[in-house]
Amino acid sequence: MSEATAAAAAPVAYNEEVIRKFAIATMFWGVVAFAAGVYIALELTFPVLNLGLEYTTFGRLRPLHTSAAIFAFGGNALMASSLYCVQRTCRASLFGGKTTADFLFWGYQFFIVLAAWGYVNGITQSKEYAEPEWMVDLWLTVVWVVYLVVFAGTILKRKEPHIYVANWFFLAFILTVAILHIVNNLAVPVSLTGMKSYTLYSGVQDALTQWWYGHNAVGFFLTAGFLGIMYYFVPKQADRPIYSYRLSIVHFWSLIFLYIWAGPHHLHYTALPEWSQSVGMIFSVMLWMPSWGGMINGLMTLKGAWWKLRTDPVLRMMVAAVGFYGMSTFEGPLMSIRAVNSLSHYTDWTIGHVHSGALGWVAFISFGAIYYLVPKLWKRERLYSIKLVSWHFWIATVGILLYITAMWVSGIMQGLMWRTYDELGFLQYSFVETVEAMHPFYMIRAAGGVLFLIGALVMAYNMWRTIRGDLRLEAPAGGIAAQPAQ
Amino acid sequence: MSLHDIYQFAAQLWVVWLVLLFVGIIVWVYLPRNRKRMNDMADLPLRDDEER
Repeated sequence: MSEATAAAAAPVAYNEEVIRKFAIATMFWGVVAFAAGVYIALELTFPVLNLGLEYTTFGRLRPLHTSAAIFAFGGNALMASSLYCVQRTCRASLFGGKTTADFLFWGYQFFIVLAAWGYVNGITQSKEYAEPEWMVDLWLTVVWVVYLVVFAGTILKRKEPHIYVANWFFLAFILTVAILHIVNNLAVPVSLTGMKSYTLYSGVQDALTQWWYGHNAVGFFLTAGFLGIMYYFVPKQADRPIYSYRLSIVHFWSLIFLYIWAGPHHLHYTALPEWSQSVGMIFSVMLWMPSWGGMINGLMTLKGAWWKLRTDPVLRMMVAAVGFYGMSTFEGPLMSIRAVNSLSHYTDWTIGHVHSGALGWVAFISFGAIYYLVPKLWKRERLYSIKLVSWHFWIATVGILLYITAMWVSGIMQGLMWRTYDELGFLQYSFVETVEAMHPFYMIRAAGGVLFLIGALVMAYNMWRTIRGDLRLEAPAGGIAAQPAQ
Repeated sequence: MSLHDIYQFAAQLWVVWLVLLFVGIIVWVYLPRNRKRMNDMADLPLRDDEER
């Protein structure tokens, strides 16, 4: 303990410049991803917005939206927060110095631009969330290995004897994503100068590898990584240690042991052998335990400090994120059960589920972390406006609720219409009738997306004013009675 | 029975080994004598605020 105190007393020159870049990139790509999402939601509502050009069809813009949201917005948020957290909790500056960190930043942005350029021009290997072709995949591999080296190197040169649990989650995320990316993208290029390649796998092996990748992208990129954010930034913002450190270790290992097997639940009622579908389903249902254990750990960190939610909208955003984490990880295992999946699969219910996780959990916890980081990184007293954070919170929350409720109704309706037979055993509804029935829900969904985008623009404005060094004079949120009487 | 046979037999039981490893982790985490050490680790992120 005395060693740790001594280490904390000695000043360490943290590399915060690269974190500032990642924070700005997070906000920029966030707005791009949400705007692309709104546009393709409107394309589904009003197909004329395809504009009759191949570049702007739904098929090409949809991977642009998903990659911008997951890899550009989420990836930059993870890099900003993980590289900040690892330096602070190890009391060490980034391994590899400034040049390596800058290469990581610009290399990753270059990957994003390359991938997006390819999607719009129809260059894709048609694997969901792994659309970029082989050249871009190789480039990402280089960048990602540098990320791993920087992160693990910083842990190795730490002055703190213990490795804090958030770093375990970040390290698991970086390591597993490297393995997933390499294995799923093994392919043979047609020529060394062309973009086209063929995957090493065929048939059902290809499907299983793809969904082993796809679900663990959810499990390790969108869950483990952002749990790393939760385990560092919720205690920092609440100014309280995590509720139970021991529970966090159990949370970590149970997540690691279980998640990797859940992929086959994406392949119910396919050519995949039924026993392996069942394995995927059982492991998905078991994931209820670590997910809820982790949610309880995050929420209970506020034990005795719940009043802070009234005065601190940043903390409110993080807590809402943890709530959405609990909600979408309840819904996920439910949908992985084969009988439920027969209704939900291929319908909008899945889209709603994904967005309750992506908007509610991933985006909200990232917003919370960025709101925490901006005043620290630019050495400001506080954010430009706390009221605007509150506005962002409520606008975005209403947006998410519109989105997911519309998709629940639309998805379940769609699934039920597809399986309705008439008295002679013929299908009751033609496909186009189901599309027509979904139209009003698509409008509600697009409205929810517009609200979420407005919230992000409010945040970008707040961030820009904070960076400029402005402070808006505001009465404390919640009034003077907000402090507890005790 | 050669060492190779023993290895092959043990490798078949990988699920058992993983479960035992996991149970071992849980037991280690919840051993009463580890309680104080673990609780101290939770304070780690809050101790870094004496900034430059």
